[in-house]
Amino acid sequence: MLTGEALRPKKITMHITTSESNGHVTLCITGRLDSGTSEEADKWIETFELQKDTSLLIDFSELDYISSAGLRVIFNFARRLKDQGCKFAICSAQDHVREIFEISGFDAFIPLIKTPEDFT
Amino acid sequence: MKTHFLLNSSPETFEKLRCQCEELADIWNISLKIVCKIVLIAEELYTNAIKYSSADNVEITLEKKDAEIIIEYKDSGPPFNPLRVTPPDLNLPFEKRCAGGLGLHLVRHLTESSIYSREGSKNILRLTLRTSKCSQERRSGLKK
Repeated sequence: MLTGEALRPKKITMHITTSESNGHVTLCITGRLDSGTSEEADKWIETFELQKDTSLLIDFSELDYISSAGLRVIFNFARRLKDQGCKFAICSAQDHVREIFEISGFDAFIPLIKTPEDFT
Repeated sequence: MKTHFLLNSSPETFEKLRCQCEELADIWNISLKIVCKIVLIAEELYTNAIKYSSADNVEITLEKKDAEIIIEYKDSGPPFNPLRVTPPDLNLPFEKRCAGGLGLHLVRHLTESSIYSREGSKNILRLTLRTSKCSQERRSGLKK
């Protein structure tokens, strides 16, 4: 359920963390993915190496905002993951972020799942 | 209830708009989801103008009228109607899709109505956004 608190302005504009468990890597994007942070996100993702045969879960639970600049980052990342034959999905997107994904037709090629547990 | 913003190519001017929009949630008694949509529409129009047009500045006025938010956007660039830009083909397979071209598409789909006019040396867009839930019909009609 979306709460006001999740959308309140935060000091951190964008932050990416990774963790590994249950045989897959989880990448958590926090804050805002927009024209102000997309360059930083692109740079981070460019240096991110994923080992062969590892699947990747992108956790959007703490992503408060995405614009077309952020969608571009995700699109290019998804293309790279597909080219590598990597299995991936986005989980726990907040309603308004999910809506932007759907309007953009991204849900046709990036699986959106509700919870991390749905990633099998 | 009107709020006016004057933005230039400095990102700080947009940051100011974003912060003030977040304060509007309480002042106008609108949800933060709606605020997100207002900021998104403003960001897409602003970045588009700064990136592709020679406009020196952009003016954005927000007004709440009953259950609607009216967004008036003005720039001093050459004549350009963003509503006429060919929308991206969402039915293309992933391999053929492009990463960009989504900004104005989002603006069109998040607003209830949009009118473009050229007045003097300015491009003007008047957009309305409902403060109630975005109608499902518009979204379901997208992929047809």
